Amino acid sequence: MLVGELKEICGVFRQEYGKTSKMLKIVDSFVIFAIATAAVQMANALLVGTFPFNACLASTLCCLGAAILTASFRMQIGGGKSRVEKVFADYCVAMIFLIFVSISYVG
Amino acid sequence: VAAVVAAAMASRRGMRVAAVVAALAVLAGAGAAGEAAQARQTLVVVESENVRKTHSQYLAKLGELASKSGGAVDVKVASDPTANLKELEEWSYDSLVLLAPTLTALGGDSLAETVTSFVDEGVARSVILVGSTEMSSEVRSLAAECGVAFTTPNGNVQDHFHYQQKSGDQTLLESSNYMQGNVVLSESAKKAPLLWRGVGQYVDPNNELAFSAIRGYSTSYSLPAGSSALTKDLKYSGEATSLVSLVQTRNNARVMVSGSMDMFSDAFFSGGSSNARFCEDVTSWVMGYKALLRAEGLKHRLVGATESQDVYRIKDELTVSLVVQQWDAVLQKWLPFKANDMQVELTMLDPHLRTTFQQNKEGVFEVPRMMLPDVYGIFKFVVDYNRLGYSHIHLEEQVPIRPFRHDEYERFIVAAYPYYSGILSVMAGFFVFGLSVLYTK
Repeated sequence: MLVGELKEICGVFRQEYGKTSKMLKIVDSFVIFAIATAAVQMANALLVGTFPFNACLASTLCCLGAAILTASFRMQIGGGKSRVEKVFADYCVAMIFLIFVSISYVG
Repeated sequence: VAAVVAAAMASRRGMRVAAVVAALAVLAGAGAAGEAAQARQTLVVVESENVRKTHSQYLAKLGELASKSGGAVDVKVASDPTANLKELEEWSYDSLVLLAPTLTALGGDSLAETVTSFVDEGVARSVILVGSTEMSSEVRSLAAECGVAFTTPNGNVQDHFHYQQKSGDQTLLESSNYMQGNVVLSESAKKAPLLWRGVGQYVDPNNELAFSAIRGYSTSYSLPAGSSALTKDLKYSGEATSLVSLVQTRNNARVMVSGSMDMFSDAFFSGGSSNARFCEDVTSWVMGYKALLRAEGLKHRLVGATESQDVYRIKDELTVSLVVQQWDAVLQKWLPFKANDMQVELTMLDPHLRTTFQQNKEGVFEVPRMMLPDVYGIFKFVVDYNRLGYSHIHLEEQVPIRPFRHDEYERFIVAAYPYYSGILSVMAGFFVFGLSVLYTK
């Protein structure tokens, strides 16, 4: 019964999601990519160990930070209220800063 | 220095003058472990004038061994008031031969105290101590101080199976139970049995410094003095009965304890026994003419460097070298010592590394390449060489080892490669994402 309801929800979701624009789909895929990379880093840390702990933290938090910044970018352009270029400029500055800090911390 | 001493000894006019010069020579020579130390001044204290006649061959041999190395021998009777190890509060002799089992005092002080401090103070002293059934308690306690206990039934050792057959005296032992190896005894001394009659000794097998040169057999036992009847006290009998015991102390002094005066006598030297050769071998060992080692210079340096450093770093490669020499009495010089079991340890509370030295052509012991462990702290190189009969060698060199400086670590850690690649993939993904956001309609 629950499975049936889940299947219904997935079907409706797929239908509605198909209606989003190509731009937003690209943004969503980057968010999912960033979270997947973070999961890979954490799995590596669990399996092999967190030896250079600073490197482990830097890579995990960089991936998560990138996901969060991209999610906020999507939120700002999703409603269609602001211009893409302006939001993208803010997003770029934030991402460059995040990558600079995480490269510095990874050692 | 040796020439001055020899000249003074040759003109036997003033015992005092000679003794003072000898004292100066000892002081001058005691600092160096070189040739001067082998020119030994020996004091022989005999029980009575009669002993000079009955032990003339042994006394002559002592004089011969000493003069070959530039030393001298003084023979004095026990009752002589000038028989003294000290002259004006300075030691005037290097070696002492006590052929006087009933002696209680030497130079006015008790024998055991004087000889014990003689052995303790100074470098590589030699003492030959002889006991008998009438020995004094001083001689007994002096032997006990050296780790050799004369057996408590203080009569002669008796053996019904290993005595000299033609005399029929069952306390006159003929023993061939010599010690192993040829460091102390040469092979020719072991060919014939030793004639011996006297009081046995017991050397604790746990004692690392004392050992037995020749033992009795499992059929030997000690009688109480003045009786030929067995008692119940046979605690130390059989092969535990040591006939002649040797001790090498931690400061490389050598002591020989024999329970028999007759072993050294002319009567026993003749007649096909090995007494003459045995006494010569053991005496030259005790006097330091044989099996004498000296070690100098435990040196360490980086491979390829010429000087040693004050501080090394973990995982440095070092070469360690050591010079060990053995005194050759025939050639009268120090020759390189040959051994394949000299080891060096790198220790901080516990040994972290232990390797065996290899010998190069000049006889220098070296470890060509030793990698320091991955632990930092204050270490020391320790060479601890204790082989039966040879001098003890103990050298320590302190070596601090420091950890890596911050710029001596590797730049990229292999274990962190997955994390580096995670960040790089986020960078690349962001770049591609940015292009696609800007250039799609």
